[in-house]
Amino acid sequence: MEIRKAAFELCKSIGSSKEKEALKETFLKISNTSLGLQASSLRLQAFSYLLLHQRRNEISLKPTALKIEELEAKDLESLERFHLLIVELNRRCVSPLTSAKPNCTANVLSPYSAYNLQPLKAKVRSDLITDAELKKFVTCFHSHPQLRTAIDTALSIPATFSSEHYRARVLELDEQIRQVGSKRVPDFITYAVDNELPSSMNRIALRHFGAILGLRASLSILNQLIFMKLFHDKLLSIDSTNTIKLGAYHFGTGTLTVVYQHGGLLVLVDPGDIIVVKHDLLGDYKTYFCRVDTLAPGIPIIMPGEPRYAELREIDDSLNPLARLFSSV
Amino acid sequence: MATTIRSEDPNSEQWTLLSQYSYPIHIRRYATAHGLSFSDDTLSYVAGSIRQSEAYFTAAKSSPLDISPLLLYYGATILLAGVRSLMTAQTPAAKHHGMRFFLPSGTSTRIADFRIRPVRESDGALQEFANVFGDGCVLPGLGDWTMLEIFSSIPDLRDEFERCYEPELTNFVPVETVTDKLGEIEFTYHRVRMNTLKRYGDPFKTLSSIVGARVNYIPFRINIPSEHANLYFREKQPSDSIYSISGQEYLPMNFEKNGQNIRPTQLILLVMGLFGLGFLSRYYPDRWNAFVRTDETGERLLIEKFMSNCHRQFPNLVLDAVRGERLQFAYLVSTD
Repeated sequence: MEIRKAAFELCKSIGSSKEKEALKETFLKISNTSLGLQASSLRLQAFSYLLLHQRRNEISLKPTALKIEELEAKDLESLERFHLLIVELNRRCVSPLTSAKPNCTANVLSPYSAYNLQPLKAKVRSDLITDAELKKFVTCFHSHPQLRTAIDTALSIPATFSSEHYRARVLELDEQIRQVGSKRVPDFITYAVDNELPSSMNRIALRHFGAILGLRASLSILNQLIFMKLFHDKLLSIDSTNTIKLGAYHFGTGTLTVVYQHGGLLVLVDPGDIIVVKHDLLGDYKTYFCRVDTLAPGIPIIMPGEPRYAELREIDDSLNPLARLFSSV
Repeated sequence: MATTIRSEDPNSEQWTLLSQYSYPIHIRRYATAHGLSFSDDTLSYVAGSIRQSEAYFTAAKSSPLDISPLLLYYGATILLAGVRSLMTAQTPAAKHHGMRFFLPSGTSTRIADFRIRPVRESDGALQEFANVFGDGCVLPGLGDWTMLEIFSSIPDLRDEFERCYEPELTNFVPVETVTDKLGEIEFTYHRVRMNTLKRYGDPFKTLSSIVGARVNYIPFRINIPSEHANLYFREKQPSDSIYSISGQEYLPMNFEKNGQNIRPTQLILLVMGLFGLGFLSRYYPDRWNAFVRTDETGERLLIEKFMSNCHRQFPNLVLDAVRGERLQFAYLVSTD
């Protein structure tokens, strides 16, 4: 089974348990607080709330920052338990690689690795997903093509390359990808492809890091899907009923651009969200799963009924939004 | 998009363009370009019709209102018959105008209350014209059309219509075609002022009554309050708009006839209006004379404007149909 399908099944298994409703209530309750408003810009699910909550005192000291209130113990525990579940899921997904290359730790591969979160009080993960469902998904995720690539290219990385080196390099490449935007291929990829042989150590190392970035991005998509499942049963879609004009499909990055009519359910779309695009963009009518990378103009400015521009990164069958970017490496 | 033709005298220019089809060589060229084959009889019919229609239009221009509607109706119907033959390579089969005229049922003397009933689908001229110059909608059997409905559909009569028949409103709304750019994507859409829509009542219902509303645009999302309602095209820019002589764009609204939403094209509405006025002046000279001489309601101003509009716009619309593009005549002043 493809990983994307397995991810949808995993989300479906969340169903409508008591815990889900309580968690949803917690998120909704804090979404309009200063913590919620600031956390939403980080786009890192429960992690954003926990991180800002831990740093609330230092943030509140800044003259321009909104004061962050302390969370109720019950809400904090809900968030922590949910995050522990996600961390556990992510850790298990990448275990073949972390076993094969111990310095490439679960933290290196974590979508949250850019930030340091202090140890959490909660010790038991949420029961939102049963262990059986978790196992089923993890088994499927182990067929991720980038896991194989990362393991096969691991020899290009010297044993002295510590986990901290790994983390720093991954974050550096991630930042470079982010800096050039959704429609451009970063120079470090173009340079390597244009000037170095595929068998060169540099290209192999780049494939290795490309695979790590792909795995990390896949986990980020998985986490976001689970997070979104708490609020919606269906992914929001851009289709013939709200598309004003499709732009180009950028083959190098797997990004498509669109101007759509803002309104209705799409009020809720934020950068980082996963949506479906149903269109005959490349001749055939097809459903594209995409991550929203850019939206303009932003929510406070735009009103329902007005046009909105989106850059959407296509997510492949393995939940990887960076597959096209590294496909030529 | 319209093709702009620079001219100091659009009326004369449009007849120059139409008159080329009164010459066999141009008719044959048209036939070759459109894969048609003309018999000598049809060719003569086209050439003769176009010459005759121009003569009727010229005569109508210099005639008093007492008889000008009839002359203009003859000119219009002969022009449509000739150009229909040009576009189909067939001589007309019609044996009847395809319309009947009815006086108002009460005591009204308003021209607006006279009625036209399209009849004889198989051998009526109106339906024959509608088959070529309309969107194929079948008019007979759908009920009567008041002159008010016809006048309400003519963009250039907008001000006179609303002054004369208050609180009646026209059956079209002015629209702006806006081109915008977001990110790398340039897109075009229609924009209607909310104040205009509000005059008709529920803005959403008004927009829904626009011709092709569901087919041409993605579902409307109107934000209230706002200055405009934006209508985004489903695919390409729709071609259902109607235009004033000066080129102002309007979105036509459907009429509900016999449970059906219908909107004849401008040419068909104009020929129906001309038929009504021509019939009235020809067969009811007492009523027409009284109206022309003693109208105190101001309706005469609207009728004169209607006549003047038909005189200028009718040949233009026929030319658009022949050429398959909208021609906009403009007197442009060079800024060099």
